[in-house]
Amino acid sequence: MNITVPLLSTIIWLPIIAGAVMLLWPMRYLPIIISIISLGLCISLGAHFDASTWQMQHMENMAWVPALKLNYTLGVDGISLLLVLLTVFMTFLVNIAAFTQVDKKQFNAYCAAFIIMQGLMCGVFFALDAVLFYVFFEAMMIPMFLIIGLWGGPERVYATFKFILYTFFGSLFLLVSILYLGHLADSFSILDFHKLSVGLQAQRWLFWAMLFAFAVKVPMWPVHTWLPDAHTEAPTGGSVILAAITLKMGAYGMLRFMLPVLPMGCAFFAGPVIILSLIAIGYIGLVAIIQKDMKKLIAYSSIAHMGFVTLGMFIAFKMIDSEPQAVVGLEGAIIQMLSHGLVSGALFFCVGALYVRMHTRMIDEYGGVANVLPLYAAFFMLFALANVGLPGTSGFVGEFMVILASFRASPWYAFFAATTLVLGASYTLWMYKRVVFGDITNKLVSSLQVLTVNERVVFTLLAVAILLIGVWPNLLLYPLHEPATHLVQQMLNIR
Amino acid sequence: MRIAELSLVYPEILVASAASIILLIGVYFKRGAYVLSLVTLLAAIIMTVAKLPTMSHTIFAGGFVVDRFANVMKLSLFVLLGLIFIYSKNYMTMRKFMNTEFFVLSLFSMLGMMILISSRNFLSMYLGLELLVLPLYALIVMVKDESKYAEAAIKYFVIGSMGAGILLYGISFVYGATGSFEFAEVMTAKTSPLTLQLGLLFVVAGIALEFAAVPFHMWLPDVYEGSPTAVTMLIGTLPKIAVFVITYRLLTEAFGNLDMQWMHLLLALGMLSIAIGNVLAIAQDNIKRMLAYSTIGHIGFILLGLFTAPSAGYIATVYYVLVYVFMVLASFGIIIAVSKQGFEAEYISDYSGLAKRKPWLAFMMLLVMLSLAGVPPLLGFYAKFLILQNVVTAGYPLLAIVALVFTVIGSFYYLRVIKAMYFEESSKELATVANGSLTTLAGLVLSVHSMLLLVLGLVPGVILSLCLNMLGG
Repeated sequence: MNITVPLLSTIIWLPIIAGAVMLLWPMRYLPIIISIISLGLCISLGAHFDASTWQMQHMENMAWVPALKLNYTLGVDGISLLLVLLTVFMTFLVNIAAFTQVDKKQFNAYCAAFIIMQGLMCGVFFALDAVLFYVFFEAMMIPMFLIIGLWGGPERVYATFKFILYTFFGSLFLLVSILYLGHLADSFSILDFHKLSVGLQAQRWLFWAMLFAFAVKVPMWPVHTWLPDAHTEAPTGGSVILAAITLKMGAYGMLRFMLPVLPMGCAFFAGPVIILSLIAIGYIGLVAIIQKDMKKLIAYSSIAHMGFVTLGMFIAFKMIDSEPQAVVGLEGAIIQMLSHGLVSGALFFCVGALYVRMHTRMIDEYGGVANVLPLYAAFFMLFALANVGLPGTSGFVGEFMVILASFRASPWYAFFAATTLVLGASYTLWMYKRVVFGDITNKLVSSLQVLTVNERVVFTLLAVAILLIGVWPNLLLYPLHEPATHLVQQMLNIR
Repeated sequence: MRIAELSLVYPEILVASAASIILLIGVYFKRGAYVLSLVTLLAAIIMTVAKLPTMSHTIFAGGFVVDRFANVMKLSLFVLLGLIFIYSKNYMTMRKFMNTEFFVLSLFSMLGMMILISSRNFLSMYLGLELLVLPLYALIVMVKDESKYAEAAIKYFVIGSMGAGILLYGISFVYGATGSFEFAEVMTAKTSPLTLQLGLLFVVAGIALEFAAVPFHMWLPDVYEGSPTAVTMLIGTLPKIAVFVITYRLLTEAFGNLDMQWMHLLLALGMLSIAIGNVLAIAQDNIKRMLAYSTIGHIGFILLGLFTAPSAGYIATVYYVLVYVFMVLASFGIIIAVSKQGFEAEYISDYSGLAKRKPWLAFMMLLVMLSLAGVPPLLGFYAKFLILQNVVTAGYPLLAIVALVFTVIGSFYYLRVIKAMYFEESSKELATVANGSLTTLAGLVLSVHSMLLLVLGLVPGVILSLCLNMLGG
């Protein structure tokens, strides 16, 4: 079926234009309307999506800067489709939550920043021209810089500078790598990059440049130190979008640039990456346990969970002879990306709901919340268990698949990866116990106000999504399977 | 010389005679100079656009060249000087500074730039350079009541004269080696390479001094800080274009055979400028000094672009120069807009809470700062992109990384201005500072100017095709 409207461009530019309009003329319900329209567009994109091929679909191609061979090329495959859905869904929830969580005076600019970011993030996932990708990748940082700096916590300026300088520093290596690949391919199309066969020596250099660029975003140990600060100081919406989407950009960049373009480099250095991932899972999990600040704890748990994503991607290189297992690992990594987006977002929403009432994030100032807010406690329980990876929730699927694949590579990898089952349970449930259960020690807790309607909507939608993926993972695997299989073939075609 | 040749220099004749006439009229009508100068520039724009040469003409016995490149660059001078006049009108009036001489001196300085841009031998080059700088010295000290203006002017004068001396010394070597002042004859002359190379060395040093490339950069921050903002705006923008064009002509037309020698000189100057400019800018609290160090960093990029130009072409550098000047002009326009009578918005702390006081001005400053930092999708990014592409294509990816590392370090001080505007509250004194000093027209023009940084950033091909067109594909 032919669609005459440039659907992908509309998904990108409609929110950006709407956000700009909102900055000039405040309109209270516009962000929600735009979010609903965007969701509708994404669903229609999904409905017209052909899951039986790995090829890019709904391609749009226009000359952008002919003199430089830059093109405005967009396209969507199963991976980017799901990530865009996640982006639009999470921004929708942020806009709903903003109704009660944000001061009325700031509401407008706040929501405008988020819907502009939504457009830019969709641009990252749709871009098939490396320079266009880079432009969206960087442009997205500007609203985030302002969001943290304007509406964040007491240390917000420090946090936002750390965040933006870290990411600028990472992306400079990406820019040089893109320029180098563009020079080799005589084109900046990502699909042309995929056809390129780069020499081994160059692949090794490019591997480290790109690894650094994307590892900062993921973030991988040891370049993760910006994340606890940024997540902690950001306003609730900022933490949600950072955790749910921004971190995925790094992993997505690895999927689009590193694995298919530099398979030899990746294979050569897969060991170090796997070790870094295991450090993230194990060591950062231990770090999370001792956190006193709820947001910091969730931030560290994010790093540990993203360790599974990088592990799932690079484990493929350790089992060159068993392609189906490698596909399982890769699919597990992608599902973990999506699931982590939902679960960490949900946890940040939970903390945000407490924070607007009590203005503290310290665990020991809470206790006994369940006595006052039983519904909240129930939702929080579900999200905490999803974070632990309880079967039946989305958290289980990705981790299980990655551990399964790593067992095939080496039982030791699986052993260290599986420590998360213990560590994740320790830090999440211990925090949950201290905040929600027990006697009320702080008087403020006893006067907590019940959940507002919009908060209930947000929690319900998230709970449905998390359970749906948990019991029916095929929903995600269906569009993912072809692109993931193709990607593994590109990766392992190195023998 | 044929009379017909004169038709090629109509813009120069127009500017020279108009400046003289404005000087005369100014004796009787104090207010006329502003309008007349703008009319002159408009006439010059029309004249140049109407007769864009398709081929290169060399006139006045080889000393003066009129080609597409020169005329488009002159066109950019007219437009930018017009913007400077519009932005500074209220600023000057408030400081009792709005007199005929400001316009006349600026126009004469621009005439010097036009001659510089078109010069094709060392004599007209030297003439143009001197005509460029002499009015600037006078402009800095036009407000007599502040001693720092005099200090800046004297510093600029001494350094400028030294630069001219070094340049002349170099020219004398070149003349000694080749027996000619003509660029073309220098290129083809059979001569002792050592003498010519010494000449090249001094000429490049002289130019580096005009550009304020490290290690010849010391004067720039003092002059930027010590001049009235309207004059800083002039010093910081137009001369860069003119000096760049003459550098381009010298390197390609006079020293085209010595490219292996000058490439490495430019590499050293460029990388040092990028490093030192960006690092020292972090320490500045005065926004004009900060912009001076940022200029040094950007000059480094221009020199880096020239370094790769023999293999990768000059388009990227031309693009960079034009874009840079366009951006930095907007930043000075905003500094003027925030200043007012008796209050110079000189320190970064003067911008605290600007987003609350003047959201639109703050947003424009945000765009300008991000563009200067080279953050996509703003125009400044593509300028950096093109230069780095050349560097990588020429086979120096590590050099590109080093340059980018310093750019990231540099992005800190641009972000610092944004931090002051958006993340800090304004102090009580600042909150009482009334509206800035822009006329309605200037406000509108400045808004369009700043928005263009974003709009042209979305379609970066527009200026690029202009540059391609200029250098003939």
